[in-house]
Amino acid sequence: LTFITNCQYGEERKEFLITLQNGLIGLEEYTDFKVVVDPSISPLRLIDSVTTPGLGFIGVEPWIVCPTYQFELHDSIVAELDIKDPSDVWVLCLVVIPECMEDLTVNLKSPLVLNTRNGQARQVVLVDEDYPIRYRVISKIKESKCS
Amino acid sequence: VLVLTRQPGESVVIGDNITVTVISIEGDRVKLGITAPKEVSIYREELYLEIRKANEEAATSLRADLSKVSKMFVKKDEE
Repeated sequence: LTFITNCQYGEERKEFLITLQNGLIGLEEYTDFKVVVDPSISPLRLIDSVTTPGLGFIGVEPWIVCPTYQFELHDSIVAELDIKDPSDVWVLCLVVIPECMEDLTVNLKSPLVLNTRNGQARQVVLVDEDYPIRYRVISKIKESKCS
Repeated sequence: VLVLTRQPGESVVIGDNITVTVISIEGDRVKLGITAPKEVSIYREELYLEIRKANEEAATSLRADLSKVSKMFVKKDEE
């Protein structure tokens, strides 16, 4: 299954409950999250734990920062997430927002793959594709407060 | 930790369906062949550790100025 999609959920506020059966790598104990689409921060998405207040992530669709982004989803993942239709797939990459904005990075190496039809999701590791874990997106920031 | 001594061509079996074979040894490099079901993720430990670190840092992303940060993600054709 190869796909290039970009779900457009930026129009109105929505929440999607998702289950990461295996959690995130290194954070396996947290499996239940909600993805919040909020137009005021679009294209960023909030990925918040529904069981642990205060635990949350920021996600972004990878095509926003890397228009040519593409990967092949292995059959085992397609089966695990019960993906029937590529248009059900939503891909979000985690954003690291440090104090210094210039160091903001997006993890293109291990995106979250979500099946919007059933809420099943997994963080996959793209071993066959050469994408960085820390993709710096803000080389165009005009003002810099970094020392 | 279970420690086993193997020679090139010999294997260890993990569980019912994972086999790790020592293919060759050249100097301080060992080449391994791994047979496992497709659903088993296999990658170098360094990669796992780097992703774990990035995930942990992502959990501490600052949310103070998200609306401002979001404007940095404007697509190129909209600039």
